[in-house]
Amino acid sequence: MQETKQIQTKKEFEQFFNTHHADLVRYAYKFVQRTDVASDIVQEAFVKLWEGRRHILANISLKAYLYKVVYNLSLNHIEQLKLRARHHDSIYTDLMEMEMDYYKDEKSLLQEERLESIRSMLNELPKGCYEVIDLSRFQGLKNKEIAQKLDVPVRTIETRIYRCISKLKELVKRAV
Amino acid sequence: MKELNDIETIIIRSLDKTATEQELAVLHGWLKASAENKTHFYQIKDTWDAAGILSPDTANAWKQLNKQVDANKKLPRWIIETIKIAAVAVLVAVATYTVFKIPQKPPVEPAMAKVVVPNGSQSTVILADGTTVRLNSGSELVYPSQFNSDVRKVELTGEGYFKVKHNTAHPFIVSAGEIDVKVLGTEFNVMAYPDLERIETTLVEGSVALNKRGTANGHIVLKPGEKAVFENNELVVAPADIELETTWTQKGFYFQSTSFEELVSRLERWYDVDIIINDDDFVDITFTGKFRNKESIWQVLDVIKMTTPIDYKTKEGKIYITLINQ
Repeated sequence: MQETKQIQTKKEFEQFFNTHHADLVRYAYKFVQRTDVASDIVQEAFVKLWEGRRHILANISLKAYLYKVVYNLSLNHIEQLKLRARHHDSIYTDLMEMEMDYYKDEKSLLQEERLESIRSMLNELPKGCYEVIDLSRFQGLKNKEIAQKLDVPVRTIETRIYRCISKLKELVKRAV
Repeated sequence: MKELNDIETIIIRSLDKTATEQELAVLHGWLKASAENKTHFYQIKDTWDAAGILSPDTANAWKQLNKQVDANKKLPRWIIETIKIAAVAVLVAVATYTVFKIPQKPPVEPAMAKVVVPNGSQSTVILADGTTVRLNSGSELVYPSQFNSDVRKVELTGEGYFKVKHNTAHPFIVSAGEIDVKVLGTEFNVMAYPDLERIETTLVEGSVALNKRGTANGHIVLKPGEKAVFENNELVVAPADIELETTWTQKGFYFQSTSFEELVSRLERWYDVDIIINDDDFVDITFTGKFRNKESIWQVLDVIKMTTPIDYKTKEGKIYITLINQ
């Protein structure tokens, strides 16, 4: 896909929104772990983009700008959480903060232009992988629920999913 | 298939959101142990996230957004102006920023925006040129929404850590109190809290020039690892302890022979509390110590108590610190 340089019309804005909205929400969700917060953050980022469209420098990619804004808003959300949890150490916010810190310099696969082809790599996984990944990642079942459905121990499901995701990770790494 | 080891089990449970708090604590420790561990885990999690379903309702979100954008259009002119200003600079402080247009400016000037970080929080601002400014508690930054003149000029009250985007053609100037810090592209810390009666600039990387406003020449150039202190109308260069000056950006404090009065005003800003001391009693008392900001104000006070003969109590929401006569 071509890098969008400028947005002038509402039509262009809508197109840009439709292209990037879902992955941006997934990107924000990665950090804030709540769908409502993630949606709000992305909404706010798009409002900023629209209101500021005449001021955003033409030489920066609007997509990169948007991801940066979403990153910053997510970071701010976590800082607020942390502030509220100041009196008791919270392992949850510590882990969130650590992940944010990692993505300060790293890009997520969600920012990849070729994300769709990455998703299609699921089909290249060994047999049995597709089944568990489908139940877990597409139908949103917990490992325990998958274990019940397939009538195998949870440990077996955990092992299978871990191995399948690791395999996918390697495939993606080679492809990117 | 080979069984998972302990950490692999915890990883898959953390992704499934079924890990216990103890398991997450183990994961946290393991991640902290090495960069390889982090890379391994975050690549796995990223693959998991990217393969994920979470299908947001884009059509509905667009409807909502459209409504919001149109509503902004129908607002009174001054509100639209305000929102425009808010939009041009990427503000991080969702709950804490206030943005307004400074009046009395000639219309050719770009609109000015202002971020106010209240006591008890911190915030990061990204300016239109890509420069990032980390603002400490109780600080303000005034900056133009766009940099379209020859210099990039911002005004700081309080404390900020600047990472300035390199641009030789457009020098970056931080005005803090009576001091102008001029830079091309570099990292440095400026501390200019009005109640401290001194302004400190610490250079981490690159080079900066300092000038007292109103004096044309006689500026001072800093080298990395040096700091300039403006106090009693004089600019003095001294070697700097970079860790000491920048620990706050990692959410901690580090005090070295800090006067008790300054320690108290820092704690007030950081924890958003009122602390009352009798200044005269504490004239000769200094404090050295390091905190990670994991501690509550009470834990901090208890640590101070271990090395300094003080006692504290609370009354009507204020903290009173007294010196114990020995």
